[in-house]
Amino acid sequence: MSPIDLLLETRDEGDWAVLEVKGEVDIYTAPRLRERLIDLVEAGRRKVLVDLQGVGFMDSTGLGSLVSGLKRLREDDGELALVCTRDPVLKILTITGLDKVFAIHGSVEAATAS
Amino acid sequence: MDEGQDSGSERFVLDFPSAPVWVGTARLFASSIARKLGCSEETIEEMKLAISESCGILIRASGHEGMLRLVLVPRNGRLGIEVRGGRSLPEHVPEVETPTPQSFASAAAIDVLQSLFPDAEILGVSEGSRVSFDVLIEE
Repeated sequence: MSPIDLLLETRDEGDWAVLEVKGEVDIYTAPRLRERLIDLVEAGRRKVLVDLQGVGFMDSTGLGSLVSGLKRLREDDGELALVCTRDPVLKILTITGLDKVFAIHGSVEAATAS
Repeated sequence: MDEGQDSGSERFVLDFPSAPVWVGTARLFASSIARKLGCSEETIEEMKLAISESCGILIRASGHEGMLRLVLVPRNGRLGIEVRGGRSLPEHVPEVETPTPQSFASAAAIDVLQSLFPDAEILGVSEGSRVSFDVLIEE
């Protein structure tokens, strides 16, 4: 299985570092997402927006990576928000109650304007 | 899903190493069969998530060693799904003040699995552990 299972691309949108995630986030690929989030924090970024619009599947290990990033950012008075309108991903966020923990936006534009 | 009691029925079996890289293959295998049998896309999405969580539970329990077996058995308008292998899970997860990433992941996986399928069973068996649940086949 190739690394193309998960694509991670980072770009700047104003104060925000936007991490665009494409593919499937599970026990195999979630560590890469966790590492990228930690890299952004260690690079000094304090506002991270994770764009999940290209994610077709995510399980609890993917959520664990997002929670790790959120916890790390909050330690440094930072923030982590999500862009997500896809039902399979919204469903697991809702099941776990994390929809109330993360700020979830409908688009990158809406998130970075807030 | 007791082996030997359904000897006349169709069954679909995938054996794969107990390693994270193969979990996507297990999801793909199961979703292809479920779609062929007529399950709705919503049911398939829930099943994929439950299989992913089941594999994660067993892989963490196995220490990434050995093999896992995914079995799908259609019967009476439902699709029985079972993942087994790895090592036996403790009957009760010991409470610790500071959960490790692994214990956190396993607890979250069990929560998600049982939220999706309240009748899901997680049992110790001779080959390690077994997670089973079933989904509705919509004709």
